[in-house]
Amino acid sequence: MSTRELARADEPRTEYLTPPVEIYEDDHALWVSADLPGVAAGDVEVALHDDLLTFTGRVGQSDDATRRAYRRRFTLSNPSRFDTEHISAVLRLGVLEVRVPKAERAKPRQVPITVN
Amino acid sequence: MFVHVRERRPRGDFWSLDREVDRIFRDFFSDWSLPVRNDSGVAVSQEKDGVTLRAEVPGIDPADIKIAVDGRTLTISGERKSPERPEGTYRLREARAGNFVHTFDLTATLDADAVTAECRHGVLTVRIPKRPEAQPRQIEVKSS
Repeated sequence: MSTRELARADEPRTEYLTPPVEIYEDDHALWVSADLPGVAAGDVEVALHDDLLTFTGRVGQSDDATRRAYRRRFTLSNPSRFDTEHISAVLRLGVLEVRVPKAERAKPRQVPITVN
Repeated sequence: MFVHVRERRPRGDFWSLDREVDRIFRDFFSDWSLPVRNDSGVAVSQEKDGVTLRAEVPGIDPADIKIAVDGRTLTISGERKSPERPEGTYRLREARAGNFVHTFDLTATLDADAVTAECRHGVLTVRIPKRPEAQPRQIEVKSS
């Protein structure tokens, strides 16, 4: 499950691990959670650039010769469906959970039926 | 090289070759005090004064993890519960929920009564010290 990438020559080598994830959706939001055991809250980064959602979580000591980090990237199809200003993230028991709320207009609506 | 902790596999003969490879691998690495991860996902580190087991337990409440010592057998068991979510649909499900059990045989040099455990950021660390009489000792050289 792990992938290796080469870092730039002036940076310590980082070994990237691919964490298992869950993606869950309901009418109001999309949840993306990832198992990041050993990662402290201050070592997690959640970033959205255009439609690319990236999680990174560093593991262990920064002075190690090889740095280890979890990383996973997702492309949001049709990002205008989501309210990307209000993405929230929680790290609990080594699991990162990111909530991406849906935009109001993407939520299902009840259309009232008038009976004449 | 002496191995202080050996994991007991509940499976049949199919795994005997794997077990042998694992044993050789572990024996080799125990000289270097590097943690050796077996296929159960528990890393075993042999140290001068004891043994440390490290298991990744993301999403598991420490209250749902049980560590039991019975004679010379140490068992770590627990359950990962599925998170409670509003009514919706899973689009992708890679994380495993359910029960797990790891059973280890401890050698007599380890102090089974002094096992301690800690769970932090989804990582369980179990420490089994050597018996006081098996701890490395410094012998003072007296001058006459």
